[in-house]
Amino acid sequence: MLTIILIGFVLAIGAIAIHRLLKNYSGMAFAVYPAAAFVWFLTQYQTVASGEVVMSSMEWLPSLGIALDFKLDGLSLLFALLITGIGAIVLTYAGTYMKGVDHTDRFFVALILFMASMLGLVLSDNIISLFVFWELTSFSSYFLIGFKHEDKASRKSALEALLITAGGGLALLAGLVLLGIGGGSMSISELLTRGNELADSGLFNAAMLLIIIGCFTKSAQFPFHFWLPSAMAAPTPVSAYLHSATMVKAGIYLLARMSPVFNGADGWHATLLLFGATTMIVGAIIAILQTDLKKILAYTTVSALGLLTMLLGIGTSVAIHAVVIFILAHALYKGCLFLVAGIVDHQTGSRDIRKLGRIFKDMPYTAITAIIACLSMAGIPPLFGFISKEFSYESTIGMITNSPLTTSAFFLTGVFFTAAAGMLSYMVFFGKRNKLKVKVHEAPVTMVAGPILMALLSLVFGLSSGWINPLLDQASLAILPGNESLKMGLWHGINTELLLSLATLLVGLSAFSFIYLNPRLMSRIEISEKIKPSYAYEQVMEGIADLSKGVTRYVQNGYLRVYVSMMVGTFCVLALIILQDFGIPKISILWSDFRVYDIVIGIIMIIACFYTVMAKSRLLAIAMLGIVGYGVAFVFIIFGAPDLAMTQILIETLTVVLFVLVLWKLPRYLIFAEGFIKFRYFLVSALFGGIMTWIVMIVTQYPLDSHLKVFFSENSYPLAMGKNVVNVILVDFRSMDTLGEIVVLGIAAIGVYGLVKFNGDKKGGKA
Amino acid sequence: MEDILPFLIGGLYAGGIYLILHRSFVKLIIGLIILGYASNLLLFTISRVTRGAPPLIPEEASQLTEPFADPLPQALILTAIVIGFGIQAFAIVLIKVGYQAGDTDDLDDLNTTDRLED
Amino acid sequence: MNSTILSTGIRILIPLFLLFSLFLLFRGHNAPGGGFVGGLVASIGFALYAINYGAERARRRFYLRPLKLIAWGLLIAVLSGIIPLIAGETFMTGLWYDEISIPLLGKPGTPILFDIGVYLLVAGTILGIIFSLWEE
Repeated sequence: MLTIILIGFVLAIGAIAIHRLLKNYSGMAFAVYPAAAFVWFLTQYQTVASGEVVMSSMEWLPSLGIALDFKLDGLSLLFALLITGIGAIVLTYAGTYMKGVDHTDRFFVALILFMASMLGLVLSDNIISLFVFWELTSFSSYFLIGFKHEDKASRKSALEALLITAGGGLALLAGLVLLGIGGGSMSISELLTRGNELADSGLFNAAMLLIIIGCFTKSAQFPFHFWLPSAMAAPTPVSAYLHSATMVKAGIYLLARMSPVFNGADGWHATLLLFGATTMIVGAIIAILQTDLKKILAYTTVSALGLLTMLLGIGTSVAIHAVVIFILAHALYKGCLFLVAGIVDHQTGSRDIRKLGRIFKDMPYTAITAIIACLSMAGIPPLFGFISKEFSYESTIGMITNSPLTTSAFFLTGVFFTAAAGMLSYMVFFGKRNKLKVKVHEAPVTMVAGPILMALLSLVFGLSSGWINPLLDQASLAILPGNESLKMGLWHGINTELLLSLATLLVGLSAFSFIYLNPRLMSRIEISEKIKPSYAYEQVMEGIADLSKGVTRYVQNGYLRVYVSMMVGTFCVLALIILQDFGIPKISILWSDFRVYDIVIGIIMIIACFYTVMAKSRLLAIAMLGIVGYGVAFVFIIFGAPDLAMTQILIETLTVVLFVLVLWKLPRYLIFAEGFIKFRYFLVSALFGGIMTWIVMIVTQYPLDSHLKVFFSENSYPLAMGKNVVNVILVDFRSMDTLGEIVVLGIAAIGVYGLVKFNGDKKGGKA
Repeated sequence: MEDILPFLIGGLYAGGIYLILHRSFVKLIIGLIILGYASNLLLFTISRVTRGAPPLIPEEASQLTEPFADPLPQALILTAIVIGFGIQAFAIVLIKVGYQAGDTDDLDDLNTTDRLED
Repeated sequence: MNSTILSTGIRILIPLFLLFSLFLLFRGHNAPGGGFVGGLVASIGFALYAINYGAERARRRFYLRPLKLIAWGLLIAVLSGIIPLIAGETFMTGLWYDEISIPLLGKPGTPILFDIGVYLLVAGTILGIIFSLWEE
């Protein structure tokens, strides 16, 4: 499994080269990768269906308990098949769809990167590697949404999606870490059995809440749902793949994966149920108010994700069955519909349902595909969507509390879904009239084949659900261990669910006719900007920008002296707080120990320093500076550092030479500060100097225990054959450091060279 | 000398900071050089000083015998001095180029890139 | 700047500075000296020459290319780290060839090579700075 994922990452890197080589056929070539992976996963089908689990493990950071562990069980296999299967279809489709668009190579890089990350995400058995893959999907999604980067709206949507999902990602990381600490393991399969330990650790609720937030942002739950419709700025294959079939279900996947731990906790059920149901209804209502094909699909996707969350919240045996069935059903029909929307857009140049109409005869295959998918969406037998709806009704009806409320919420959603399905099929392909100015043709086979396949699968799984039954059964067992075995079928006899389904259809159809007959009325319904969560998001973002501007303007005001004063002041305050514990050090100068030249050198240095500071002319200041430097060299000589002294003297000479070389081109000393300001500067610097003195005195009063001194003195000759220990440290023991330092030195010289040369060139250009 | 080193260091630090606080470019560089001296001396002093005993292994011996100066800070300071020079040279050239381009020695005239536009 | 004493003296001094700098470089492992100090001394001779006769003349007279010196210095220093890798040790392990001892230079080993790299780089850096300032 690791190999499959790694191949994906390698392929993503090589995608640019491959694309250059194959040009317009690269899409199909790339599709070989997910197709091959799909076949491999299919070979595992029997193993997984019989209840076994395929494991693969590799150490990554063993000291932190982070490993590249992969586990393939029913749930993972379901997702892996969806990712690779739809991935192959989407790549083939995109090869044609993106023909003639600039930077298609980048598109494929991001798409393949996403594919590999998403596979890693659903296969990971370690919470940290899961998180890494999770973030990678967010990033690749960012690049894909912002693919049309010249477009401002596109960039904005990409950033919005990134900020929300990555923000949620932070919450998720915190949640996962708490989970790992509480459960005492980083492995997911172990954590799933340690719910009790987690509850004992007291981290249960915090971990649960944070993980839920992470999942909600990723899976576009209310009130974070608005990034998903904005993400429709991405090219349609991306919308089909990331923003309906796979990435947005990552949140659902993780909720499902963590279900065995959290299922049973009150907060878990209540939160998922409440937010899921809200998202479901809000998404469905907004969907039918849209006129853009992709927006309709996006909002129904939001609604579908809400439904999945709600079902997970219900958490009963049948609800979990409904979850796995709906994941498959939704991926099939929604992925198909997105691709159809892309075809329509590609062939007609419009996605507006008010303009589209009567194109059935022009593109019959596409139309039939779309109709089948819409029938599945509306939940009409014998399609797979119908089975899914039956199970959903069964789970809402079977609830112990709040059953009528939830059932009616689902009923309402079903009605809107049916209406939306009508809008997507009837209004586009039949409708009143065609307002398009172009002649429409059927799309090439590479684009149509994928959607047809998906639509057919919706039909096949509906008619003979037994084929897929074992896999979904295993998937539901992964979410709810010990779940009853799943029995899917089209006909369950005449019962409440069936009647409700029929009622949904009837009301849905009448709702559709209402929309169809009163297009003006629908366009008049507008949702006030201020109650949308995206408004709050924008307010927050503006607020952050304003705040940072304000802070920057205040703190980074461009005056060096203010910066320096702030730094020095902060340092002084902090140092004083610490120093007050030490008290005033005893000044015990033993005059008998003093030698005359010590005192003379000290006094000369102080005086020279004073004159450097006070000098009115630059030359005097530099001469005095030289004296201070030579004084430092003397200190080095006195205390047994001949190497330092030599270097210091040479450098000092060079500095003075350098200054003199440049001096005659430099400005005169200007005097800006006078009187009181000077006094203030003096106070600040005197305080700083005093504190440094104090620190040095205190530090030197405590004994020093240096192992390094002993180590170097003992090993310098035996190990490194050198008798000058300083040099041995420089060129042998710590030669790596010296290497870094000489690199810095070389860079400084090149910098000087560049500055001078650049300046010279500029002058040359003027002349 | 050991006892007056702290005062020397403090004095150098004070002088360096005082120069940096002024708006003049040349003073800024001289201040930085003085701060460099102060820091080297600080590092030298807080790792304890030993008078007149360089860390050189005698001809016939194979390791040092106490008392001897700690070689590690010396190695650190040695590179610090040379790198400090490289940075100074860079800064000096920068002043010169800045002076020629902007015709000013006043640091306050050079902060336009640092300010946010309203 | 043009002084008769300096211009006569520097011609004799340059070889002396160079010799002394090499002396400092090679004794550095056992006595005060080393690549840093050696490089500084070497560059001071040429720097004085440049100040007296102009950088362009110094460049032509001694075939000096400071940037190339920097590059060579860095190359030699890195090379001294790679040689142990070939010998199967980790990067920058000091290797010594004990068998022979060259007079004045001592035993050959990779740390000496590294020090030579430092020497060249420091000399190149200082000369590069002085030359580019003086050329204007």
